[in-house]
Amino acid sequence: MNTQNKRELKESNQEKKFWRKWYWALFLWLLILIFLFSWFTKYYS
Amino acid sequence: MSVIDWVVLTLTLLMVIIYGIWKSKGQANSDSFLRAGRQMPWHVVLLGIMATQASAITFISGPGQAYTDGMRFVQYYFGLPLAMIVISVVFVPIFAKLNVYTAYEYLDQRFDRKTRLLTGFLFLFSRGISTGISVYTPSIVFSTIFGWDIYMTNVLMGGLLIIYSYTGGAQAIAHTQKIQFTIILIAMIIAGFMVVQLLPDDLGLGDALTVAGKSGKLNVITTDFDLNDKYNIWSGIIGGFFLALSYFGTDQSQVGRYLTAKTMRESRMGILLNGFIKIPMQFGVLLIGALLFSFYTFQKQPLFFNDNAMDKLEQVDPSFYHQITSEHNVLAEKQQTLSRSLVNPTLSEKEYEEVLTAFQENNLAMMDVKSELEIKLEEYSTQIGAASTDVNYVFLHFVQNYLPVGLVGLIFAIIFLASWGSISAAINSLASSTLMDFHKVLKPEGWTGKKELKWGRVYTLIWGVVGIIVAMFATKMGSLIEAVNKLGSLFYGPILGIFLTAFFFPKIKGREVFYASIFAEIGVFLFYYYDWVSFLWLNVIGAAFVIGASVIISWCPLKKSQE
Repeated sequence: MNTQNKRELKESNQEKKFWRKWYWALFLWLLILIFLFSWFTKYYS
Repeated sequence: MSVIDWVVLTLTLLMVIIYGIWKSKGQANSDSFLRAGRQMPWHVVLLGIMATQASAITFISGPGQAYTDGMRFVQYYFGLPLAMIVISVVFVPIFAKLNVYTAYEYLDQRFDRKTRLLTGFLFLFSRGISTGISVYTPSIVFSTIFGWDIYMTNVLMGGLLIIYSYTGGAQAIAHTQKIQFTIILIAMIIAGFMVVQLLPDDLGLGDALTVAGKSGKLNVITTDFDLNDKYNIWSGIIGGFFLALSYFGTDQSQVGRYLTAKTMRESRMGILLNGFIKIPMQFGVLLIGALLFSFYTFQKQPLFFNDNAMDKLEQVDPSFYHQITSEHNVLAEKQQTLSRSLVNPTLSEKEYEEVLTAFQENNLAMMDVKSELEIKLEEYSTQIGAASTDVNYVFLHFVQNYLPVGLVGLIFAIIFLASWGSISAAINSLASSTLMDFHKVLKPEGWTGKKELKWGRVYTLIWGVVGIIVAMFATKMGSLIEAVNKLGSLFYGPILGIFLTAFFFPKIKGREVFYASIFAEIGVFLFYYYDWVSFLWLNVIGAAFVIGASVIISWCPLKKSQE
């Protein structure tokens, strides 16, 4: 594999890592919200 | 409304219309009219996505939904963040690579012409009707305030919208949605602040939340698994996931928003940030409704928030009117006293339990009285001409009767802007699909940029008129935010099933998926007609049916022997 292909693959892998972090953050955000709302529901019921 | 309110309303709306017309200058071809020339950065894409979904229905009907049914409606959005991830991974790269104008263009390449036309038709039908519901919503505002005939008001509102959408195009829509949504967010915060500010002086947010909670309005998370239950965490995550996946992944009114992005990165960022913001935003809107319940409990709850309908009932059946209002007034006064006791910190535990029991029993009694009224209003629906529920009037009643001068005008302006932002995007998407998926497909020769632009505008006009016609029938639909989502659930499942089959089942061809979609749509209608499950599950059923039926048809031995 020549240097240019490696660079493109690296950028593509970097890009994938970047988006993977966002996807995990969004998933965790959903779990945090469900947890907070559950507490809210229980506290005021 | 006062003169100041009229000035604020008129100036705000004029500002946005003029800005929209200014931004529409220099449109030479359909690419700028339909895709804003693909120049938009992520924040414009984000605000466009949010403004397209959050119409006046969210703002008017949302608080009313929480007022009557509690906040559990927010669970409906729990599947949305997961859907944004899937769209970012799967849908966006495919649409970007193929450089499509509409989501359905892709199906022509992947399957065949008839599958593209079928999916386009399902979109046009469902989006056309929901646009009519969205035209009706600001019409309620004017009709309620001024006592205008709702049908003439629909014509007036739809006419203004056509002017705006006809001159706008995707470029103007993208820019005006930026302003519109910013104003919407400010208004939400002001409205929420005012509900708490206007509580009696000795009461605060905590007291309002306590009363709302004891009345069952803060039921944000409900975990009972019941296929016939409208909103619980399971239908929200699973059914809501499929609904959001279909709406944001295959509905042209949303796909059209992120097709305007400069790059794939900008599309993805807009989509994912929508996933972060949507649920908290919706929680805020519903919380306003729950707080309104407490607010009115401390004031004295109106029996029915549509004053117009009550005035007409008094004329049509005065004895029932006086009987029901007397019954309600007794209960409402008792509720006022009990709610005060509920937030009294000096009560002993035993006294508190007694007050709580009396409060909740009184609540139930008030709901029974209201049900009796709603049945009577349904009986007299021809004479009264209004829906038998007041879900869509709760917030309006508060704005009209309690907000200070100036703010009333601003809130009404925002309701119009929210409508316009959403409906103009919908009409633009209907025009795009009609032009690109039908007209140009069925008559492919002789197209120039000018001709595309001309026909884009013609279809914008036609769909605006269709919206007005549909709005005429929206009066009887009850809670509009539910109606528009039920309608979506009837069609989104099969449409999503077509796209998922396209992405994940490469061996399935157009013929299989075409017939599978028709069977799936029939199946979904049967499930809805016989009320076998609550509407959110229809999205899952529709999608699963298309995929399953496509696979089965592809195995069909008769077809194989013919080949």
